[in-house]
Amino acid sequence: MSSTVVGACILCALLLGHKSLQSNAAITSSGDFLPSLVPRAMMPISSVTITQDHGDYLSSTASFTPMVLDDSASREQFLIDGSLSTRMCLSEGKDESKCLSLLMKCEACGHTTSRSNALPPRKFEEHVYNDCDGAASRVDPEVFREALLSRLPMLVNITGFDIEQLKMPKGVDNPLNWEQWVSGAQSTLASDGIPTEFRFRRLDRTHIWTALYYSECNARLEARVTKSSVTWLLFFAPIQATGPLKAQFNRPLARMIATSPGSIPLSLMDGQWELSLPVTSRVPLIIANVGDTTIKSWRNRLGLEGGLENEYQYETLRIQIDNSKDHIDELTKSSIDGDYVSLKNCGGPCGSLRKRINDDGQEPMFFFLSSGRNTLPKHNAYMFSRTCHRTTYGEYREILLQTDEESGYCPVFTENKSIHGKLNPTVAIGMVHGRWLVALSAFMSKSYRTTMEVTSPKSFPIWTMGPGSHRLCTEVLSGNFSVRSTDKLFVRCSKFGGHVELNLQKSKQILGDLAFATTRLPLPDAFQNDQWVSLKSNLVSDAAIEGDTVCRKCAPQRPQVKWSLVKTGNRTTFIPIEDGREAAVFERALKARPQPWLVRLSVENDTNEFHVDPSLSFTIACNTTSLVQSALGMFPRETLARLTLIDFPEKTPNATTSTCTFKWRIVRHFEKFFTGFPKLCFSSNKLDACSEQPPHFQKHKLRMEQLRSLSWMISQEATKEPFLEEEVTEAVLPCLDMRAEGLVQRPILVRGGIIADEVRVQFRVHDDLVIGLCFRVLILVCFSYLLLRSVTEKPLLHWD
Amino acid sequence: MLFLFASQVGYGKTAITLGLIDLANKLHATPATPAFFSSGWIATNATLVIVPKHMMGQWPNEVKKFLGTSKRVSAIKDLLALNKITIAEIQRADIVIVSFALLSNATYFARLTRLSGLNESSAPDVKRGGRHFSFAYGSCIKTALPSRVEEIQNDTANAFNNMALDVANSEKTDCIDILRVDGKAAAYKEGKSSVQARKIASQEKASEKDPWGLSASQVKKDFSKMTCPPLEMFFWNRLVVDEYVSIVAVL
Repeated sequence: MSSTVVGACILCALLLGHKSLQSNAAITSSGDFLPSLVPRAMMPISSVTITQDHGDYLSSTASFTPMVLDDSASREQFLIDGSLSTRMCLSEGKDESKCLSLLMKCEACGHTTSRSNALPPRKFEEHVYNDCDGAASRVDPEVFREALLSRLPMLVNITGFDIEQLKMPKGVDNPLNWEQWVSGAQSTLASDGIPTEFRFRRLDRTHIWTALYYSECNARLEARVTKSSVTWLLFFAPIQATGPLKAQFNRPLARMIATSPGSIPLSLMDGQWELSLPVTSRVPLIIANVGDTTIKSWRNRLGLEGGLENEYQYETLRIQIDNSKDHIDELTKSSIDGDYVSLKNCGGPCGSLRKRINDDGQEPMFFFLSSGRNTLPKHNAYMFSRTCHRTTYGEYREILLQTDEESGYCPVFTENKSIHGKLNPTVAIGMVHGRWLVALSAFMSKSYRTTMEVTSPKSFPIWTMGPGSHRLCTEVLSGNFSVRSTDKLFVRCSKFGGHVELNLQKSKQILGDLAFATTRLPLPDAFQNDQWVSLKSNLVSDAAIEGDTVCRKCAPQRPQVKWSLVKTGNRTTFIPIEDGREAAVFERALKARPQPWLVRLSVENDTNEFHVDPSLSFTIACNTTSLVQSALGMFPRETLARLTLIDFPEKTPNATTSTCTFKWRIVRHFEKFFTGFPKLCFSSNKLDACSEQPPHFQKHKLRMEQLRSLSWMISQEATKEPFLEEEVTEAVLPCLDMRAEGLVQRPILVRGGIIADEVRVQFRVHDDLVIGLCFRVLILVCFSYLLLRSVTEKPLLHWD
Repeated sequence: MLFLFASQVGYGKTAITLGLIDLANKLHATPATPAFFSSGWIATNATLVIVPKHMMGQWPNEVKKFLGTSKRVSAIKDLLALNKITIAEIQRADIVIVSFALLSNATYFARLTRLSGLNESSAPDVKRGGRHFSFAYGSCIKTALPSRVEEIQNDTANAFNNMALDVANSEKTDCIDILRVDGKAAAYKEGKSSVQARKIASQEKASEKDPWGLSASQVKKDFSKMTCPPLEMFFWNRLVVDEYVSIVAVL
């Protein structure tokens, strides 16, 4: 459509509906809902009914605290399992885990990638790849994800920091900053005297595992699971600030390295909390060259001219903290001091990456330029950190020490070594942000709610789909937990009269808010071991509706394409023209299709009974009928699968049910390649029995091996075992790792086979051939093995 | 779905196939025609063998070599041969051997289209194939041809006239003016059909009038004397495709 039309439409829409955009509460003064023009996350309840009639349901209790830990698992093994299941290449995505032999590791910087991505090397990023050590095999991410989730709390409070007791520490430049820090810390840790509840949001799998928790005011709590430890980092609730103050609030407020008390070896929640005070200490850094080996600067390597062709830097630098005035503790000094060699080929901003040498066995220490997300080059500083990977948006990297951006340290010099006017060795100013203060009384504690009530189906008896059953959804899971009446979700639901339906395309945030309740829920018993649940189709009533067997609402009929003679320019040709009226109906039906998944929230606030907490419940339902019907709709219109349901009964009036079988199930959804395809096998005739000689074969008799083949062919012709042709539709429930599948199987009796010679070609069977010929038996006599990848439905149409 | 069966070159696939045709009759009775195909198709017990053109001479000889004269064989080498074949002959035959050249012949499909009652110029060249051919061929064999076959079986006398009416009707509906839903002409320039388009269509029409003999009095009395029957009219007992690979290569 042209932009004029779109523009006019937008203007019209705004003129008509600007009122509904005015406020968040889309309620008129008379109390009616003003339907929103823009799709919103919450909407009033649709006309679809959620039912428990289809199955037997059971109630149980789910906990928000870490589940019972098995004492046998050792902490070290748990962390090693974690490191063996992290994402080692971007191409692995969320759930994939490639074999170690397919992965490569850079000797210098530790970057890992898959073999196929390692080559060809990128310009200016030529890692020194080596094979990954294959001593241990990788751990399935699914397994570790489950193990980690069961050990993490879903809801947690952090209490006991006593921020108001703190005195302004020495070294704070500005008392105003201190006040801001205190108020920021207080609002992060508690509101109105109630400790902040951190709710589990999601588990991220990158080079480490990270569990993310958010509070209602969006303060973030992270649990980072590395090879050696589990570190909790608490970040401030977002605050409007700029400049250094903003940078201050982007750094963590507190941290805790989990240690195990003797009784529970694998507890991840116990440890000493430390507060990061907003203190910046400055130390002189002495940077000198080791040896005279120089390498080209990145601008020189790029081939820039104008004096830049003489730009160099030393290959190895010796960096030491000048501790003569007792600026800094020995631990920081010992972790910084050392010789840093340039890893110019490992990427890094401006080829600046350096790594400390002679670090045998220790965690590596890197020294590199780090640029802000939207800062000018003059504000960039050199940093010391334990990691050198590229951070994603909002990811926090722990910086041990950084150079003062105002001192403008730069290791690059031109050949006469005087352009920067600095002598060798250079003295740069190093800054350490934050000072850790042990908070002895701080600890992680349970939230005010520890359990919720869950209802899920135990089993499903077979039920019959009738006309209009797409307006009936099967309940899959529901949960009920208490909330505070100030809870945002509770307030929003209450505005809708207590019952809302989620628009699943728009509700990532709300589903994220509910993740603490839904993430750990197991698949309902009825779907254990990926088993299918059968359905029946009511033939007579379905066939009577709208002249088709398939529900037109669930599986909209594609418009027909007709070829018509049309004059185009000077030529008269046939062009395909879509039936406009059918196309309009199709498009509208497609948009109004019943949703495969339904999530509803409802709140209860019974004020009549005293001392009852308000509660929030969620119900997840699956529109099974619609799912199965759309699978049936994928059989083209003319196939027997659908004809059996309409035309056929007229010819065989005794049939009351179709020959098709309908099934559905719900499985865990992982983003992985499917590798379980069966292998194509060639059957040999060696073990077949001989058949008798054909009666009219007089002069030339068939040989033994030919008779064996003949008996096989005879049995192929006499077969009564049908082949099941199937269609599946899938629907993923976003954020819940669940996938619903609807399956329709149609038995077809295929008689005949292929006689073939050696392997010569592989090809697809085209539907252009033999489509109109109707027969009882098909035999293809070929020169070669046929690799049958697809047999289209057209020839099958006429097979019996 | 289809079963693969491997053998050495010169293993005698033709011989086994012939053995199967011979032995199957003896071992089990021909399965009944499925209900779906009971009307709209003419049932035959013959096996249809589709062979590449160069194998056309070999097959009847092989039949003679192994089976002697025990099987009735019809060989349809090209369109001329098909012109002489009647429905009765195919119904009687045990083995019908057809060259693949026939199934890629433009006139064969033009006739098929016309017999179905569709505008024959609407069918594109079979060798070009593609979406348009699939559409034209599909609309023939899915509904148009079966209903014509039913008509020929039950009302042979009027079949030819009805066919001519259908064709004329189809020629009109094929040339459409692309109109909007409100009846006005579409804004697309190229979407204009005209009388001229119709003229070209009728000029291209093949000259042959009635290769089936449907207007002849003897056919009107007995439809099985109809000549030049398209192979799609029948419900075959068995279909054998010889040298499938080379046939697909032609396509």
